[in-house]
Amino acid sequence: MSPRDPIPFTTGGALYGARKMIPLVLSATVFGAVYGVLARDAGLSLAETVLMSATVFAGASQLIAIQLWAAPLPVLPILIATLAVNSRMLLMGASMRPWFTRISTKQAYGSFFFLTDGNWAMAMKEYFNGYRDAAFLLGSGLALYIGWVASAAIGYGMGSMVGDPRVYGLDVLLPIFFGALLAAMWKGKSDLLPWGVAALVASLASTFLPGHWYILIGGFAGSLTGLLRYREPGHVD
Amino acid sequence: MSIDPIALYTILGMTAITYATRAGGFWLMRFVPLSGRVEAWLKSIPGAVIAAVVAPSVINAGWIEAVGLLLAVIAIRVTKQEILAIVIGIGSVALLRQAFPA
Repeated sequence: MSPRDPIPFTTGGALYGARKMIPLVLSATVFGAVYGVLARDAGLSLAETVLMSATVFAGASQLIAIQLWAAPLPVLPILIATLAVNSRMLLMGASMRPWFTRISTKQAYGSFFFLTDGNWAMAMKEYFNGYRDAAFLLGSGLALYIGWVASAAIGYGMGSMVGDPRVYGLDVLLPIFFGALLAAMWKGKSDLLPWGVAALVASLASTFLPGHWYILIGGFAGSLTGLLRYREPGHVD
Repeated sequence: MSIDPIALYTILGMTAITYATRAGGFWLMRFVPLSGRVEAWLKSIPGAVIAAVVAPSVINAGWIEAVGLLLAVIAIRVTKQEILAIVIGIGSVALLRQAFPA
């Protein structure tokens, strides 16, 4: 496929994306409910709890905000923590540049509202395998969104009746999903350096740095070493 | 159904910051011409970011979680089915936790 071929953006692509997200929708629903329980414990109203899920739509940063929630509200620490935790998505959006410049600006910037770790990772795996329908991100994101927002209200209502996700191994669903995806993306020994550097730097950063910058730092360091793989066309060592 | 004004502003601030991180990387790349070198970097991002997400939780995991991850990795390499790999991974973790309560 040449870079000039048009990029489709179809309902079929959105539905395919949603279907690929089924296990992650399950996990988003369970954790959305856990968030709802914790938000009520932290003193948020039902409207505030659901509004946050519907507008922020980013689990890790919402859980951290809930942990910081107190009277008077520590607005600035919450906003700084949000930036730190979600900074990783800067790299995710950047990596979609070659794909999403070829759809309309409205489609691209509308879809980005629904970008999360899980559907971005799945979309890029599909893209590397030759899949091109750009509505994949929107459809997969919407599936997660519906589960995430609805379950926040359900969790808020059910309170402590929401069970412990650990019993069904659901607390490890995301790490296992990402680990399996990484294994599926493995193309050969040239991946070893960028992935190894990313893993090492992220582990060190998560241990020694405050805040939640480790994914951005590790991902950036690892992807830069990926540059070493690049050879100018016609270049001979 | 009540929303405290300060809580509302905080949530809207979180929304703006989060959307800026979602769209900001794509937007910033308008100012960087897509040379072969830049494309090579962008192509390296997904694997590196996912490795950075997973690594700290693998290091902090116990043997049960490590076994679950290993089985999921084997399952996806053999079957190429994400859903099956996830079911095998979390299923084995759930069973092992039942068998070996902490």
